[in-house]
Amino acid sequence: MISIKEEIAVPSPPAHVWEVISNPADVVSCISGAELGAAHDDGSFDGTLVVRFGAVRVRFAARVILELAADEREGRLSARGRDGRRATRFAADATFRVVPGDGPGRARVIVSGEITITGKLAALVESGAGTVITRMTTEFSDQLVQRCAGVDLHPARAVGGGGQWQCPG
Amino acid sequence: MKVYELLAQAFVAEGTSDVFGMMGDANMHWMNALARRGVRLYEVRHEGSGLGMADGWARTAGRPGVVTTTSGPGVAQLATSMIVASRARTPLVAFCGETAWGDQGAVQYLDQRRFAAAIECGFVHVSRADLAEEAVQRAFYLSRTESRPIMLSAPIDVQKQECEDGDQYVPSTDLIPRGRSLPDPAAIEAACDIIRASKRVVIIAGRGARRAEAGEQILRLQGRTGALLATTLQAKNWLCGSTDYHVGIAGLYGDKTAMELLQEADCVIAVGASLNHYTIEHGYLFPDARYIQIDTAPHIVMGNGAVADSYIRADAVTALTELTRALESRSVALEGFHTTEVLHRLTAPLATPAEFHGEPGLLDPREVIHVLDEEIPGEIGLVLGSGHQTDFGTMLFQRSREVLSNYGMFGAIGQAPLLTIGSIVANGNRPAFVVEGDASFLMHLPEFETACRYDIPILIVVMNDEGLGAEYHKAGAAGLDPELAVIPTPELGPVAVALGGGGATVRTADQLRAALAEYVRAPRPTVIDVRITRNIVSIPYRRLLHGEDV
Repeated sequence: MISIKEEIAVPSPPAHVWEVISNPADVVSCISGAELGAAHDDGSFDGTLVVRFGAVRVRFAARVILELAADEREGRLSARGRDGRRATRFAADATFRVVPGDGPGRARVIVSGEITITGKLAALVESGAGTVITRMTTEFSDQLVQRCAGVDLHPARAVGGGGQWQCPG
Repeated sequence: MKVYELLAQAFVAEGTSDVFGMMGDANMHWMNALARRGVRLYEVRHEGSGLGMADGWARTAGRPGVVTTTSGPGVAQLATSMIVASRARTPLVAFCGETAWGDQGAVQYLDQRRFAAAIECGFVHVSRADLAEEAVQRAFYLSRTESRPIMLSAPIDVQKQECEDGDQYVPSTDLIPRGRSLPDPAAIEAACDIIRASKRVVIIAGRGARRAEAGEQILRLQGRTGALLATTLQAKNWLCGSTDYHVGIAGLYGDKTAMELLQEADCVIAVGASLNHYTIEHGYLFPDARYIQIDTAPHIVMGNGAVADSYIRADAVTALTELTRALESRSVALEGFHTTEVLHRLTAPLATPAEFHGEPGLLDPREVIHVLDEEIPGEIGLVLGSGHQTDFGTMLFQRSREVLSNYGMFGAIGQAPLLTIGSIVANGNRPAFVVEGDASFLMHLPEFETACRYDIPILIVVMNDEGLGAEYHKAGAAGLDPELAVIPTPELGPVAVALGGGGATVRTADQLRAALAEYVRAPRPTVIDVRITRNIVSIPYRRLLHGEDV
């Protein structure tokens, strides 16, 4: 099991940061290699993520559930999925909360969660998986800061709306 | 005649020429009978070491190696090396003496049948004088046909019984059909269809292809399909001098370019390679490929838990010839990976001297491999040892030469020098070198004296980081104290000299070159203790422990 505990300082107002981080399409655009798929009636949606473990690329597909409490600016995300070869499964549960930062017009995003990888890949990547996730978390933090600052991270690609999310891969 | 003589006679009829082991009450009569029949006996300092040597002998000769022990404690010493041989699928017969049949109160009594089962070894018992020849024949038959170690356990009282002279012994080889198996035309047809629909083919050549001497046929198929040629670890560097489109090892030991190119493959043709999980990284290395597999085994489940899309059960030479002929007749010819861009990517050096970063008095292990590859001629074979240090040689040795790797065979340290001694003996005392870690070498240090005693021209290059290198780096990654894995060693050069061989402790590349030149000029048992830095982490460890894309 890999634990995530991260505090991201974002130089944008909490309300705006919440607006970004509560939108799956915006969140996915901050994750390199991620794509959103179909949305389901129960509020969940599909997603895919290509992860590089060492020199090997692995594509995961998952069903994602996102629960939001706008008043508290708090969200809970859970994802269950497996890779295309069905040899590895993962389960991720995370909570995130947007709180005021250390000055006006600044926010902090507090993220904590756990990821469990089981199956063939678990043996293949050993402790490197934790490092990979730490690296992805850092990349996500950087991208989130830029997204909140209004930078279009992937200007050449269209982001879909409505029930179907189409995000850059 | 005595049963032990009959047994010795049968071993000779099976082709036994060299026996490794240690003499004791329960095998000494048999060993004497062997010596009288011209068999060379190698007295070792530990029975497990003798088994390691017999393992190396068999892997090189391609026929059963022979080790011997006395009863009980001698047998018990075999455990680790026996499991290694079993995992390596080495054909081997262990002639083990036994206490008198049924005497369970004997000091050296051991339930050798149960012990054999626990150490993954087949078991044949010499329970009666009149069945002695049949027991030898069965042990060798099982060893050859199942490609595994077999313990032939002989109670000393049975060995000493009188029996009829044996003059009708039928060697187990007479019971095994020869000849090449032909491929099923339907399987060839299916393979052609897969190749015709593919754009990027990879051929993976394994130990079986090398043994079948199918190099010429592989290169022809490669030319027609525009394929990249990769090898398994066991066939490292094979054919690398014969094609520009050779990517080295498939799997964790592949370099970054190889890993990237192999993941683009849409068709993998395995020749004499089981495609275990090491070679195909559980299938992740070839996410979009269909598989064609050529092998003599009845059936194979690959390392991704699946079977090949087209399995061609046949001898490698015959199947490749037929497959290429079928492709020619259908005018199937692909450019595949054979492009200028791919060629450019493949010619980039793996590690340049500018990247070497030693410390004062401690060499960069990558530089050590670079110097070894430059200074040791290709006709001198290589055995790769264990631990963190072995990653450098496994990835960076480039020269085409015979390579034997023990990686993945139970993960036991200390085996490689033993395998090398056996391999040299099987090769008619042709020199070979082994690259091994300090803890591994010291584990079976007394066997260097064995090599000196029999004048076996082994060069042991000790990559000496004064510690358990693998644990040092893993401890660091796990947040533990790596210093607990540091174990100082004395200078091993003088130790080697004291044991009767040549030796040097080197701390610079020039000192290493000088020591190597001395060995190459007149090969004799030699240890070169190369002091290396612990600061360089191997690429496989950087991938596994730190998730680096390198």
